[in-house]
Amino acid sequence: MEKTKGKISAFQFYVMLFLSRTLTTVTYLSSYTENIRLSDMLIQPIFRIAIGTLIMLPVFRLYRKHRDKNILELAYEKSEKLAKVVSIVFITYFFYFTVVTLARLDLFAGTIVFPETDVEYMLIFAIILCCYGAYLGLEPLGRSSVISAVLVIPALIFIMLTLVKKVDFLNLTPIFYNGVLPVVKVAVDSVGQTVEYGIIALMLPRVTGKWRKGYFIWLFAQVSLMAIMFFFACTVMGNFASTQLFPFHTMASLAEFSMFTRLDAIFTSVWIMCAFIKAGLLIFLQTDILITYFGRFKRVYYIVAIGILTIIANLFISQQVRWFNIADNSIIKIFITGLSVLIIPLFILITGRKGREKCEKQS
Amino acid sequence: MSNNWFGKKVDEITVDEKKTTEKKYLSTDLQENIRYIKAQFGDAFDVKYRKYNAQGKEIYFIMVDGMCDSLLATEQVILPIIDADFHDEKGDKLIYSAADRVSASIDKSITNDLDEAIREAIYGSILMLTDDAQFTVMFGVQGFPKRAVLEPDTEMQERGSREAFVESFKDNVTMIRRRVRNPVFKTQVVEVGTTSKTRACVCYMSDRVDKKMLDDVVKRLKNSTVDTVLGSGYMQSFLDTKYASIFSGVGFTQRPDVLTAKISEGKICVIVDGTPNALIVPYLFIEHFHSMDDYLKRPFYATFIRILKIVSFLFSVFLPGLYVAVCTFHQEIIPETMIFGITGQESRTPLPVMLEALLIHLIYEIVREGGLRMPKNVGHAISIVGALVVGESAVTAGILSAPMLIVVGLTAVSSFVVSTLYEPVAVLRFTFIIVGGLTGLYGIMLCFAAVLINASAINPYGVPFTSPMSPTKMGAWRDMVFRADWKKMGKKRMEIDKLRK
Repeated sequence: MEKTKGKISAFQFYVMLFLSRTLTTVTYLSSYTENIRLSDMLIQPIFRIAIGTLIMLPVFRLYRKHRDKNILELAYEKSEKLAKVVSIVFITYFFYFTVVTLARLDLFAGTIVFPETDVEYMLIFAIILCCYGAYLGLEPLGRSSVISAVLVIPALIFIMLTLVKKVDFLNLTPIFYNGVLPVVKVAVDSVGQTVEYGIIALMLPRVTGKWRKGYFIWLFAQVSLMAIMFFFACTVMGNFASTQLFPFHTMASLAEFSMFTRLDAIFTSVWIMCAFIKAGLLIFLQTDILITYFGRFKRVYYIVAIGILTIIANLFISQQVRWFNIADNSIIKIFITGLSVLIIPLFILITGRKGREKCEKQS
Repeated sequence: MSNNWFGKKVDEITVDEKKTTEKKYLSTDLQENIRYIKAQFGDAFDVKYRKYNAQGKEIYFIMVDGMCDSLLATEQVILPIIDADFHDEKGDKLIYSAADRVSASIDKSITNDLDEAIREAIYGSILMLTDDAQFTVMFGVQGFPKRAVLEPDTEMQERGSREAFVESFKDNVTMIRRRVRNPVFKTQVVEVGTTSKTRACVCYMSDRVDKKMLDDVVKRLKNSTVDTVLGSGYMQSFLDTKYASIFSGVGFTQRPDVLTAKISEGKICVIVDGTPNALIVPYLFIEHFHSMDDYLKRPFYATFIRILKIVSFLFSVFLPGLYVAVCTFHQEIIPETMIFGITGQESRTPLPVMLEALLIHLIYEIVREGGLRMPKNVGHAISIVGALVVGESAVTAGILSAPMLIVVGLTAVSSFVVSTLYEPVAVLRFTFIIVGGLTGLYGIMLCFAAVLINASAINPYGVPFTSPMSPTKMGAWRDMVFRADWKKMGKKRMEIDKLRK
């Protein structure tokens, strides 16, 4: 097993995850929340914080004991086979989310930005550049994330500010109109869509500085962003938002400043910037796992291989809403997130304790 | 033997650089030494061999005409030696005694390495050889023609010093020493160029430089494999980061005050003999937006100027690409009041917007390059022809649109605001025009992200190129975009070592 190098500061790490999560938020599809009113999405982040913290408890417990080993290394200590199984799970997990992320970008480009143009070549262009980002490594990704955040956050704030005058509180409906359960269900779905939990589960040993404090700041920041975005979507557009494929993009296109009446270009820029960081990070992680556990060749070959597979998978889904819906299925996401973030760490934690108890008895 | 793509054998057209390490020591036979020197110089007309007889002792003086100050050589070296009474001294004793008799103001060094002596003679020293001596003494009486210290022609300043570096590296070092009257300012001379034996002077401040970084710089210079070094630019790639990047981790300056400021931050500068530009390592991205004037003016204005420079940089890189992207794919972004004007103009031109932008920028680069190489007076004429004849006439003829010309003009002016970044800016501009024309804002953003991550990957000597923005070093923000007052900045000095990750 090849030992991987490269550390990242907690600040850069969580900024990277914030951008990654921002992408999921701004590319929210109205089909995710069919069973609840949009106003309920303002309260949904509270459930998210609770669920997000709960599912991360085994990971935090694991890393409190073994700060310098990641989940794959801990699995390797148990058995080599287990490490390989866990690494395959994580590779699949990250690969799946890379494909879904880029598929959403493709859907967006194909339906909103260039509805009359074939966007396949743009998708390939995007994947090549993401692979290049992954090739440069974790530190450049972290550094560029911080600079991107300096551009992305003010851009989002600017869009929100220009929408303030269009806010109509009458568009807000009573919360829990359809009961609490559908809201909780949406929160679970939303947690399932958060690949960042998996990234945290794998990368915490590489993070230097206050990683636990950083986690809660990140969690708070991302749910706050989500709540603010939904507040504006709900109050500016009302039920009209539910009829839009990408409601936040529609909301951004309503924003206007002085003689500039279409600020959705800024929104698109934010989206693409975040997608680059997210996909680059996910491809980097897949490569890293491959090199660590199956590494025989140069890093670049693995990146090229992952890049080609991602292109094939995305071209297969591209412009086919049916396949996109199958790929973007929330059950698959919840299953794979639960397996990687909750079940595997729990298993390692429990088997580790049993092993220790057995040793104590023998001695 | 390797083949290149066209099937030519590479070894047939290139010769491997080999550094000769074998030394040729002086012989006790004077004639043998003279024969060796003559063999090395061949029939060089400017090498003078002067034979004197001082009280029966045969003495040879060898000098390269034009490199020495003849008057100084005669009055301060040759006359005192031939007039001196050496009694029974001969051989090495005579050499040492002769060295003592020459004025202390003349540089003297004694060696037994004949090749080194020849190199010194080439650089304006006068060699003294005598019989039975295993050593020679070299007197530094350099007097070659050199340019006077003038104003810099690229880094013009409003309030700063008017001095710029010249080609003589000794004069350049003197200019720095005048500014740092403290022995912590150190220099180390390294010979670069296997044939040219050019001298590169590594300058630093010993109390704040990172020793590992210093060793690394010296090692890289020593290991450089160039046959003839004719300028500091030859050494740039050896000192630069190994990553393939459009940006460089090596900066350059023409100004001694800038160089002094950089070494006072713990950086290392390399002055190559024969070039009025010094190299600075490591050089960070944000430093391209700093100038000496920023530190001489009030902080609020310095901050304003820096913001202006950043905006100009963004204009010069993105404006043409964004214009092409918006006109080709995202017309809805253009405000209503402008859309009719722009589309009206663009519809009258025969070329698509992307090709039009590429063409006009290509013409602009040709005019710029032409103006740069031409004599100054003709250069002005070229500019007038470029701006008035080509630009105005092309619009009138309907080949180019007026908005495009405005974009080019704005881009051209902006690109000179941060002149040190001109090279990457020029290439990126063309890239963004092509990407914008093919993929719109989508491609521009992706390409920007790729450029950003490429810049973030540069790590010259362990200091991230994007520092102190990312990794964030709040302490260094006092002199990033915002410049704090000297009352605050003066309390604690900035050191590059603190920005190391």
